[in-house]
Amino acid sequence: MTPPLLSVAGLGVRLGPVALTRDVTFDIASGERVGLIGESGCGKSITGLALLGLLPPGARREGRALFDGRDLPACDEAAWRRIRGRDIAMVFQEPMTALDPVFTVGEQIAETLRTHRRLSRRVARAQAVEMLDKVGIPAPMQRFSAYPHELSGGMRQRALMAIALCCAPRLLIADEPTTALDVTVQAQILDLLFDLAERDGTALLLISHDLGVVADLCTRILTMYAGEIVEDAPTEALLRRPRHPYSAGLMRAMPRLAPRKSRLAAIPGRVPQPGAMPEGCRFAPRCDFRTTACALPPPLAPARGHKARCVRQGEIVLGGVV
Amino acid sequence: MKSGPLGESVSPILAAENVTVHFPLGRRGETLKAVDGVSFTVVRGEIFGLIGESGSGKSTLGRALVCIQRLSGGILRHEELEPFRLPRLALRRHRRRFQMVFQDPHAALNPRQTIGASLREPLDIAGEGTPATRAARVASLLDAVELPASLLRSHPHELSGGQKQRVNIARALALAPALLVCDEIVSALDPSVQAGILNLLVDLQRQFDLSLIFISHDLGVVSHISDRIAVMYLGRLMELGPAEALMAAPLHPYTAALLAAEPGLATAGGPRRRALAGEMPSPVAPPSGCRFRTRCSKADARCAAEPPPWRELAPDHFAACHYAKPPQPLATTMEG
Repeated sequence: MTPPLLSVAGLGVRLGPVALTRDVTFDIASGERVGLIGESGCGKSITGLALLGLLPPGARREGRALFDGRDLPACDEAAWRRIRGRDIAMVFQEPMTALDPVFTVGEQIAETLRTHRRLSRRVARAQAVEMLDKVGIPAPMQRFSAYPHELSGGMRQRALMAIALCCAPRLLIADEPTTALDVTVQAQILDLLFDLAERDGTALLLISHDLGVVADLCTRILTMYAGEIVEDAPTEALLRRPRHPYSAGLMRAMPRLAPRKSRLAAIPGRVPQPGAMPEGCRFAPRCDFRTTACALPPPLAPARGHKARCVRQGEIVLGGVV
Repeated sequence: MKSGPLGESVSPILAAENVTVHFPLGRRGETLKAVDGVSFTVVRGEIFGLIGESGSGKSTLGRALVCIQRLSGGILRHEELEPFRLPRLALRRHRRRFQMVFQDPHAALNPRQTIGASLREPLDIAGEGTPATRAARVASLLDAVELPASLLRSHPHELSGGQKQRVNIARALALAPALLVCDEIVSALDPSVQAGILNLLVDLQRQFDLSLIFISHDLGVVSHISDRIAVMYLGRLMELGPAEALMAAPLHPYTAALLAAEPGLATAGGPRRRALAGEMPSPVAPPSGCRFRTRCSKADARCAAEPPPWRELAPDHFAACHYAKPPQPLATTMEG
């Protein structure tokens, strides 16, 4: 068996004394499309940033992350510069702030190429135009010289993908890449991500709050809650029979799956704040299934296949959506 | 024919007749046609869903419907009345009964005011009742949106997004409106919180016999809550019909495309749908004829030449498309 492309074990992010995430453990195989879902503040974005060495000042990474068998550096900025954009690339949510407003989109693609590949200006330009064409931007020659403000939201997101993909990274991390877009444009971008990942064998980590978006594109889904992975399952298995009450709760809260005007199952209570986490199972205070056994922190179990961080996963039967 | 809960035998609470809102752009005499000839009625006690992508004009229309935005043309009726014909002070009084809740729950609340003061402000301005009855009203409003009375002395920053949006809804309800326009009010919220707000809206509608206009870009949310749905594109309505019928068998190609673009749980990581190509053209220079034709797979010369008429193809189910057909008994209406 080939080793996974990315292997994360016990990854945690600390900001001073506060643990934002802990014990994040998962693998991504070469060419695999994995989704990471969770609600605001659960730690999904910071996990993505940790895998690119882009943590905010003061934040510290714990645990191990192996990429292609090699350790991802903890804090060596020079080493990160060689990896970022070439081996692992990222697409962010807000395409207007992620692009530099004073350079044309073409220059921003060419810059990435020249940094990593030492190409001449002319060759870099030609490849940038090719990249714009590849992500479905019409009239790529003219668009090379367009500034970000001259493009629509969907086109900016495509330009961002062109920058991320121009060096043919082996892992693309996309953090809410379609959240700011309209549904028809969102569908275009999801199609494009799928095509690019399929064609070039790029592995994908898609971070989103929208289970629909993630299920649409990914073959495996990680559910995150209060800084921990609470479920790791093949998409179909998760949708058919979730094993963690939180994943099941997210599904039941989706209006598009419920009968019209029926009461939706909102999850009672609030997400606990970092620094004030419940001991034991972090979801227990909001969980309908809690027992005395939930006072101890549950492991993410079993070791392989469909995993959940719930001591009662063997006894409770949760409803899926398919 | 016309009877029953959605027919004309019930007096509408709101009627828009060929409503337009244009914004002059100054340079070269261009005009942004945000809303360009929209007609529909909202029946008392109904939840009317308005769906559209950004730039479709749905928010501008929503603002016009509660008289925050002046019309450039057409007629707006609230019950028997034309609010824009009222003198200024009378319009101000009238507005109490037609309220709006906005998208951003944080921006809509004054950060320096307590929740109690925020809820009380509309009552004080309106001069309703005595100070004692106002205080009681504030308490009952908080109760109506299922928030604990302990929040009265809290400030907005102490509340979660969902709680803040509940306060905004309570605030809009303070003066006992007949109609509430909700513009993307759950879009900024997490899914589990969103579910609670949708439940609340359904309850409040029944409890206070409210009429709601629910504006959103999210088809799942709109179809869950609405009795009827209107689909807007580039300033015009494309389709209007009962929620179930419209979702099950859309008559307009744009509605069909919106439904197809919904990320699917059924197709889980599997085969691709083909997404609708292109993006919405500029509302400054909309296409001639049918506005959707530049992205429509069925469009031909006729679509560029003649704007499609608004036709009733099934009971209470309208569409503006030359090629839309009445739904067949079997679900075989949308081919290709």
